[in-house]
Parts: sequence; C-alpha cells; structure tokens
Amino acid sequence: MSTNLAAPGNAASNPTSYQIRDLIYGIAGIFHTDSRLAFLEDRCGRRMKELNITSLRQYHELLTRSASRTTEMHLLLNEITVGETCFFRNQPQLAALQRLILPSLASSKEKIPYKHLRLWSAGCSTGEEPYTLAMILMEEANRFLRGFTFEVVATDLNDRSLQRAQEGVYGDYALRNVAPDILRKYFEPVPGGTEFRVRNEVRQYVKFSRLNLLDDARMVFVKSLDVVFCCNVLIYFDGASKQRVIQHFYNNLLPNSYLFLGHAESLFGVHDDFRLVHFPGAMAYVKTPVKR
Amino acid sequence: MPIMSLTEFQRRVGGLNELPSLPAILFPVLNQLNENTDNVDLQKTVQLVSHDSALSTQVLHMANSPLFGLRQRITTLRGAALTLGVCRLRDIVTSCSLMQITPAKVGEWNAASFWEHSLACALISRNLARKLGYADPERAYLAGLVHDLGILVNVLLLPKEYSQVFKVAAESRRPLRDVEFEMLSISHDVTGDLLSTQWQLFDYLSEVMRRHHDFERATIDPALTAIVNIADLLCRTSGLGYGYEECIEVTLQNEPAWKIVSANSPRLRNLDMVCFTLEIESYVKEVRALVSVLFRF
Repeated sequence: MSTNLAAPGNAASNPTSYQIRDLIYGIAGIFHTDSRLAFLEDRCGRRMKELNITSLRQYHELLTRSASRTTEMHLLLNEITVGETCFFRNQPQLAALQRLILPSLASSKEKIPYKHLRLWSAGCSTGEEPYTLAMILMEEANRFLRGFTFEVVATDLNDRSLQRAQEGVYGDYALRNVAPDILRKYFEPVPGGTEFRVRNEVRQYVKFSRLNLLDDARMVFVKSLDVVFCCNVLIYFDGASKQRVIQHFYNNLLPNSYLFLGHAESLFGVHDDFRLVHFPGAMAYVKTPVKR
Repeated sequence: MPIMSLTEFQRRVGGLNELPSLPAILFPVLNQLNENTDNVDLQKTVQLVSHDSALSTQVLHMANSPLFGLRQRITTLRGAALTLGVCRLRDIVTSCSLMQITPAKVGEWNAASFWEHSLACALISRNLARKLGYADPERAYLAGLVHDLGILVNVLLLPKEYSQVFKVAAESRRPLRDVEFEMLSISHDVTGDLLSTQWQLFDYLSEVMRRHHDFERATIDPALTAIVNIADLLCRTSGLGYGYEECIEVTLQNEPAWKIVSANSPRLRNLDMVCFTLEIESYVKEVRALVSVLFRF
C-alpha cells in the first residue's frame, strides 16, 4: 500500500478537509499531515467529480450519513492508497530471505512432521511483492524447502489494487528487475500484447484478500506466520496505530520469525520486543520470545 | 585440510623483515597522542607531511572529503591543519601513510577493499564511540583504522596462500577469519598482534588488533575493543566488508560486544540503530570514492 504522494502543498483551504482527514484516520489509521491535505482534497475531488458533488461538505455528509457510506469510504481509500512497486524490488531483503532466513527456518522445522511456511505480504498493492515471494519459495522448493508446503498471504486495503493483483498481468515497468530466466519460468506472454501474466503455478501459492491492518477482529486470524513483509505501509500511520499493527504482527508471528519493514522504517520507540537483525544491505526484525 | 600448519606459519613469520616498517612519519604523529592537544606543534606536523609530496596530496584529498565535514575547500596543508585541528589531521595523516605501504593487489586480495573496510570501521567506531559517550572517540578512529592490519601481514608473508584463502571466503561468502583458521590455522588477529609488537604501537591499539574478534579477553580497554567489534560487524553488513558480500546475520542485541558496550553506556538505549545504520550506509559511496582517489597517488 505504498502511497503515491502529491508534492507537499499548503494546509487545506476548506475546514471540512480536517473532518475527512479525521474520519479516514479513525477508520484506516492513515493520517494526512497538514502538508498532505492538498493531496487529500485532490483525491476527494476525483470522487466528487464521479458523483457530481460540488462541495466538500456534501461529500463529507455522504461519507458519514448516507446508506452507501461504507462503500464510498472504500472507494476513497482506493484513491488515497495507490501502490507503486515492482517485482524483486528490494534485492538485499530478498537475498536475506533466500540465502539466510529460508535455510534457517527449514532447518528449525526439520523435525516437525507438517513442514509448512507461511509468509505475509501486508500492503501487497498490485501483487508484485507476494508473487515475488512465491517465486523465491518455488526456487528453493527443491533445495532447502524440499518436503515443505508453503503459502503467501497477500492483503491490502485497496480493492482496485487487489483486483489488479488477482489478474496478475504486468508490463515492462513492473518487470524491470526480473531476470530473463525467471521471466521465462514464472510468466507467460499475454497474447497480442507486450504484457506478461504470472503463471498459474505461482498464483496457486498466493491468497489475496482485503484487510485493514487496524481491523483488530480480522487481524487476529492471520496466524502462524514465518515471515511478514510490510514495507512502506506504516509510514502513513501515527504512533498509536503503528503500535497496534506491530503488536498484531508480533502476536501472529511464530517465535524466531521475521518482520521486514521499508528501508528507513524503524520500530524504535514503537515496540520493544522485536530485535533488530542486520543482513548484508538489509535490516529486519526478529520476534524473540519475551522473558517475563 | 589446512594449507599450512601453525608451526610452518610461525617459521615464515619469523622473517618479519619482509614486513613494511611503521611509516617514519607515524612515530612523531602517533607520539602526539600522549600529549595535550594544546601542546602539539601543528606547524611541525605540517612540515613533516610536506616533505612527502604524494602524502601531502593524499592528506589534502582526504581533508576535503565530505566524510570529514568541512564546509569550504582547503588547498594547503597549513589550512587543513588550522581548520581540522590536531586530532583530525593526525587521523588523516595516519590513514594516508598506512595506505602508502600497502601493495595495490595481491592475487585475489584487493587493497582498495581492505582500506575501504578499515576506513569505514574507523569512521563508524568514532561515530559510535561519540554516541555512546566513550571518553576518547579519536582513539576509536585509530583503533578502527588498524584493527585488521593482520590481514596485511598475511597478504605480504603468504601472498599465494592468502590469495587462495580470500578466493574461498569470497566464493563461499563465509567470514574471512573462519576460512583463515580452516586453511592457515592462524587468523589475522594473531598476525596483527605480531605486527603491533614490531611497530611498538600503543597497548590499546595492539589489544584491538589482537582481540577485536575475541574482545571478552580484552583487559586494557574492553569497551574500545567491543566498539570496534560492533563497527566491524556493521561495516560487513553495510557493503563495506572485506570486498565480498558475506552471508551473515547479525542480531546486535545478542552479540557479546553489545552487552559490554551496553553495560558501559546508558546512552545506548536512546540510539535508534536503524537510523545509525542508515547513517553508515551514507558513508559507503564517499568511502569508496575517497579510497579510489587515494590509491591513484
């Protein structure tokens, strides 16, 4: 759910913008600072044009009082959380997963009869990250992960992004980091076009669903995770919301499992029970059981 | 199967005359470490450096690097001395003169990568020392700079064998010291100790060279040795390792060196290690650019 932001502008010209900001924050934990209110107004403007609404106040009423308010909030969130990503995006993180974490997880589960790995791409946007993770798992299926089953849980708040993810069709830009042998192995050309579709063999491992990371009731069900990728999502959350989401990750990860955040994201002052791990060119957090 | 037994290695090391001597300029420069900075004659240091034109050029290049944080360009040694002050000038002169005694390439081993690592370790050690409230951050710079000089001993005494050690370590992405042990039955911290004795370095520098992987046995300045150990690990995970990407996972809070440092520094709990790591990553490009320029002279 990495968000494309407009250039920082001035604070909102319309006081209703603040009410819409607070509404979005309350529902999704995404907080628009004063410098991003112009961006929020612009995105509300897109919806208002679609609905033939001329004032922000009317739109606020639609978001709070009308029978279609939940649907409209979904549609507005779709406008706000537009993903920008590509396959094999953060190479050092993926190298750490493939070279160090997967062998270590495989070895720690060696004596367990049901050998299963569960990865979660939280804020999966248009699907590039979860499909990449599935491809890495498939690459290791005949080495470290021999005898393992695996799955990638992929969630996002944005319906439109999820729909594109499920279609699994991508152009040059999203595929710019994909090596030719990986492209041949895991993608098929879309007939009559320049795009490629992710093969069904990969898609079968990825389960997409819409999830608000602040939805406590649903978050508790994403359990028994070995690795979570939640990159450039929490930057839009304020401290309290971040703590809630991180606590869910902590509860849902298995002991000694890993959490990857975006390059500059830190849990310093947010959560004390994860330990920072350095890999070559990448950092992650490991869940260490709390000693009470 | 080890290439060489420890006895054979020691026999070869017996001929230490094959090793470079401590660069002459470093005797007076390092002796200043014992003096109060107010008593150090900057002019004298400038004169000593100016006798060596290659060294002078290197010192000026390094002084103007963004790593040393100067706002204006310096064109004379005197200007460098006045702007940077005694400690920084000493650090720079020491760094440059040590680089001068290093062969550029021996088989698979590349001196530029070695100095990138050493220089980065010096900068990170000093930075970390400051953040932790360690009493003498400049001492940490020198300790970081010299900690791996034992590698130089190995390269010079055993060029063929060490080239093979380096090749195996790089191909297998394993820590250099593990492969040294496996193939040579000796590691760079032990040979570094031999060099520090020959060069009669300060005891705390000798200890860092000998104990930076074995800091629990440090007795002279355990905190310094632990700081260099952590800086070394951070360099190796930030693209400034031995010249190849190791397959390593480092959880600092589980590292014994971290525990030593935490015991001595209450400030540690206020340090966001993600921010600190990003700060280190910002050195990478500058350190590489600087070393590549310095090796042209």
